[in-house]
Amino acid sequence: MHLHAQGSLSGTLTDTVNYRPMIYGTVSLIKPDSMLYGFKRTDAKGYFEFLQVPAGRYILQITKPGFADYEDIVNIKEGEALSLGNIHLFEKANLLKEVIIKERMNAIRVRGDTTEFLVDSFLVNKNSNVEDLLKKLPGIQVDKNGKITAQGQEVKKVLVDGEEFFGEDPTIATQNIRAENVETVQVFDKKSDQAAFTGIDDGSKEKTINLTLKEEAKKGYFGKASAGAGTEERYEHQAMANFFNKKRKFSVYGAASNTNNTSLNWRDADKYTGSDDDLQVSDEGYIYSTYNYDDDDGYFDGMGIPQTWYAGTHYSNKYNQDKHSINFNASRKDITVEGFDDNNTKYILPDTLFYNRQNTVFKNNRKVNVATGTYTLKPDSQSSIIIKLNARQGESTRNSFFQSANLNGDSLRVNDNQRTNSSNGLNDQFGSSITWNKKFSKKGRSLSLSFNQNYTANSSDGLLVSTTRFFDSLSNIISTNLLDQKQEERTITKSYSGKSTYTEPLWKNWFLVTDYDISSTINTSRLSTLARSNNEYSNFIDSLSSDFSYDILTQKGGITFRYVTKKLNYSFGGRIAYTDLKQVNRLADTTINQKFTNLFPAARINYKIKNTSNISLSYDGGTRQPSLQQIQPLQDVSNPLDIYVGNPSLRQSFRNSFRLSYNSYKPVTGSSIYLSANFSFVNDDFTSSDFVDDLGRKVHQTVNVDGNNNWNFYAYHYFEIKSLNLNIGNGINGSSGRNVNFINAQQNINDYQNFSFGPDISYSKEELLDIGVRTNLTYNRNTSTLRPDVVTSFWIQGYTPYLELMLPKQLSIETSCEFNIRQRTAEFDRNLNTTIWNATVTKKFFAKQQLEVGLSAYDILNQNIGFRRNANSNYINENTFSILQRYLLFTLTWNFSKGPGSE
Amino acid sequence: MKRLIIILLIISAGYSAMSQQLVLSGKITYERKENMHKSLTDKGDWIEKMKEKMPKYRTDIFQLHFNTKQSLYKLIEEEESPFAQWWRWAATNTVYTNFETGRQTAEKTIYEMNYRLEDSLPALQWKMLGEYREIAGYNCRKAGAIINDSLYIIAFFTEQIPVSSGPESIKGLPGMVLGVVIPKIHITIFATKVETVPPTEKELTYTPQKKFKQSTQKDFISEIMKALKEWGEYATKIYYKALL
Repeated sequence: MHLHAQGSLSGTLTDTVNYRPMIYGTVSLIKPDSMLYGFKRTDAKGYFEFLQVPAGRYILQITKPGFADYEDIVNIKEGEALSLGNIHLFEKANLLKEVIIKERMNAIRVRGDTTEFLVDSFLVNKNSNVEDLLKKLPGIQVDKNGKITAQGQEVKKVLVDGEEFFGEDPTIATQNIRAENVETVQVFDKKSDQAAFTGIDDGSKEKTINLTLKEEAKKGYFGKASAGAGTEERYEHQAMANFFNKKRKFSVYGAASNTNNTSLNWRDADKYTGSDDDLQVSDEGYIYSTYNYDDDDGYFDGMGIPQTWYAGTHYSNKYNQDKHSINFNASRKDITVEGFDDNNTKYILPDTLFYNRQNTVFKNNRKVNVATGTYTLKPDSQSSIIIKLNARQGESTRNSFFQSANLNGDSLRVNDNQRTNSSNGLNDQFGSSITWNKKFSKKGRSLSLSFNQNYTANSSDGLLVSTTRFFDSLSNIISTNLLDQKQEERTITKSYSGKSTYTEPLWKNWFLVTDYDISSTINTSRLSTLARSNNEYSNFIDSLSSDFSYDILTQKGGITFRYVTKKLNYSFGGRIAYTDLKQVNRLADTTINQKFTNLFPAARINYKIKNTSNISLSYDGGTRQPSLQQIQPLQDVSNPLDIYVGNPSLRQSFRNSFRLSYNSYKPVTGSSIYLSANFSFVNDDFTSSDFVDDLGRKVHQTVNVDGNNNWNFYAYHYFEIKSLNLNIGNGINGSSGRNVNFINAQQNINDYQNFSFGPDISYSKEELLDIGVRTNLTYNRNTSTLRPDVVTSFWIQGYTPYLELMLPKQLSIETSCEFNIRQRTAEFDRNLNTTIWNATVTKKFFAKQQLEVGLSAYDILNQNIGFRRNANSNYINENTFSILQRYLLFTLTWNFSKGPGSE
Repeated sequence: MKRLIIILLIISAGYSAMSQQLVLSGKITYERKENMHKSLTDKGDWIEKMKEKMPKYRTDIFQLHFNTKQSLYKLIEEEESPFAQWWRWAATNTVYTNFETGRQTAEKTIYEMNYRLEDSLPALQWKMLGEYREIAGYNCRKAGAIINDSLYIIAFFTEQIPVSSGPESIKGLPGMVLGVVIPKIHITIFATKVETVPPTEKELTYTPQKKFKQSTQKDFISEIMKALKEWGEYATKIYYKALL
């Protein structure tokens, strides 16, 4: 055919009744492959024409509402002006159709208005899709375009296991699911009861097909096993697997190691366990969940060398269109941590300085079993009932050897202490809760009720052997204090609480939130200290023993008004809490009864400047109640060098906090800014009043003070230079404030300033290279009015260059080197600068990268040391502790999976 | 044992009086639904929990005012769920079409980037799929097209409204598009109501928003893709939405 061969086409449309010309008739020219070439609308005279149409065969389709479609084949020839003359359209007529259906009885079941076909009874090819399958089923026709007719009606919806597969187009399901994965095909009229689970009810009946999938198509598993062995007898082994079938999930995991990996990482925990904590959603649409690291669960804080094993299992399932769901977890962990922990502290006193040096060697073990279960019932989309149960049983063994010395400003020993502690503890805990949430049909109205119960029982038996010596100015021993005691502690706490929250829409954009809580805690606590005499711990020491019971009843009520619009959001309100506390001292036979009221005002305003930037300001105020230990008229003399005396005249404190934040997020441009500033001040704050005698013994008490305040800010700016593949982040944060305390009855005002900043720069090339440096520079400064001559200030600098390289053949290299430069101070002149260099090489094997071989070198230069420096009010403390140093670790990991989603 | 059953079926192609009238101007309300659950392809407990918290669909209501000379498609009611903002890429477009000049203006927002795109009417290669369905009381035909050689869309159009417009930039068929299905990005746009009252001058007036960057669809796509080159799978999702 000639490239520029063109012709034209024209005609006039009239009806068959009056032979009148028809305007707005649609005339389409369609190519043989169904592609629309073009269309015209007839003018007032019913005329249409197509000019410069490439020569060839076309389908001419003429449509007009109310008339039968007209279709004809036209052949447009080069240079020819084809005129079709008058075309008449006919009005639509009824059609009659006859269908013959062949049915095979044993393959078809009729239940109510549902017809069900067992797929295996109908022969289909291995690779055919559901459309091919439907063509074989009696009573169902599928035309060449995928349109399905069942029992004479067009099928509008195809569901898969009762759920909409995708959108409104049935062919998407039928052409994308393989026939061999389908167990039954159900045909029914969608009615309101089905509408309940699809959520769409148009009031009319629709012919619907539901495909139920075979179990095998929903089954599968995934998991991994890894073994690691290294120098310094380091090892790290892990195995975990998850088996799933539809909504049922079952997993098991276990691990043993003596490296810092003492629990599942976040990603594995997400895949192999089921947390029962709820996700929270902020007004801005951020999704977060909080995770509390619980010491009771054997959490490792990084101090010492751990040796761990743990194992656990998880089961969850959902039933009856997810109306019921259950979630169960059980785990056991055994962790032993040993090491040293050294503290050097400088105390700044009115007319002197003194130093405290402590060295501890410890070995602690914790064994804990945890089980949690959750049952959720969602009777409808507007309400839910959640029942949670949790139980924990733990055992702790702690052993430590502790030495300390207090030195005066001339570095002469004032006193020293040596003690050996060993204790064995058991604790049991059981908790339960039930929560009912209900949303009402009125938008914004909701009610939530919950009831919680918790029981804990702790018991511990400990032995303490301690020697304390006091020296005079010539370093002669003045006196020696020997202790050899057994301590038995028994505590039982039972608590019950109920909480209700009700939200009511008031008028346009206004909501009222009210809440009421009531809680009751019953606590008994008995501490018996027995001194040794004649190889037996039999002398009961009254001053070091106690037997208390407390009953606390708290009621809280709150009212908050909220105004919510797209741009602007604000709320204000407050809560009032009434507490009734009764403490019975069964040893002294005294009873303290206290009633107090706390207030918590709050206000918040949030303004959405743009969709990607936001500013907010909030205020929170609140009273704080002294603790029982702070107010009871007793002395705690368990540490002869540090005696605590209660203060019955202590008043409530009141804290005011203000917070301002701004964020702007420009992901396409690649930049973001985050700013926040907080300011708080406290009236009648709790502070410590210390009396230190010249033997270095300290007696302290909690007193009220005004003038304590704190402000801090944080700013972060991130931007990308896209042309250079550079990402640059600049963070700066600082805090400053004042703490007032008393030393030997003199007021001491401590002012502190901390700043840290440092840019992070990285260059990245996707799937090849990531190289960069992180920096962090910190400055600390502390001054006090008691000793204006002593100013503590120091810098700590950290620089970490890193490199991640992805090489061909699934080989990758990661390395980082952390330089820590810690400025020495007059008091602490040890060199604590370190360079920590780590490197890992990994290679993956096989098509799906199932096998992974890795070699890691940790702390190659063997310089790692645990370090914390803490400067506050009238002391500065430097803490060093043992942590893992240089080792090499060789690991082999096997990843496996089968079933849906494993590709 | 086999049995033969003969069933006689009568199909009547009835039609209402309304179906014969041509609609040359009016207002169409569309419901744009995006399945947010389907686009969360990652696995894990966190994702499952998130799905429990968030609605399945981002549902936005749009209106198209039209006559035979021009049409204006714009957002009337945005989804309220705070989650929906994470699916906001090109989800709130305004599209003005002038059939006399053969040009269209589209306003699209992707995060902080606001664009005004001026182009001639999109030239999609429509394939007639020979199926029918009724949407909002109108008989529609099914057609399919591929945008930018990569995104397959299905459209349902009616010749009872002989105005070649539709939601977003989906147009160029012999009648008004009342339904759109885009399987790859889990979006459907269906008309829920067609009102035949002619729109006022004001309702058809396009007022450009301030501070929108002037560009064309082609430049906009290449600019966005260049900015998102490190985003991997997300960039692809945003790319498809930007095409609409």
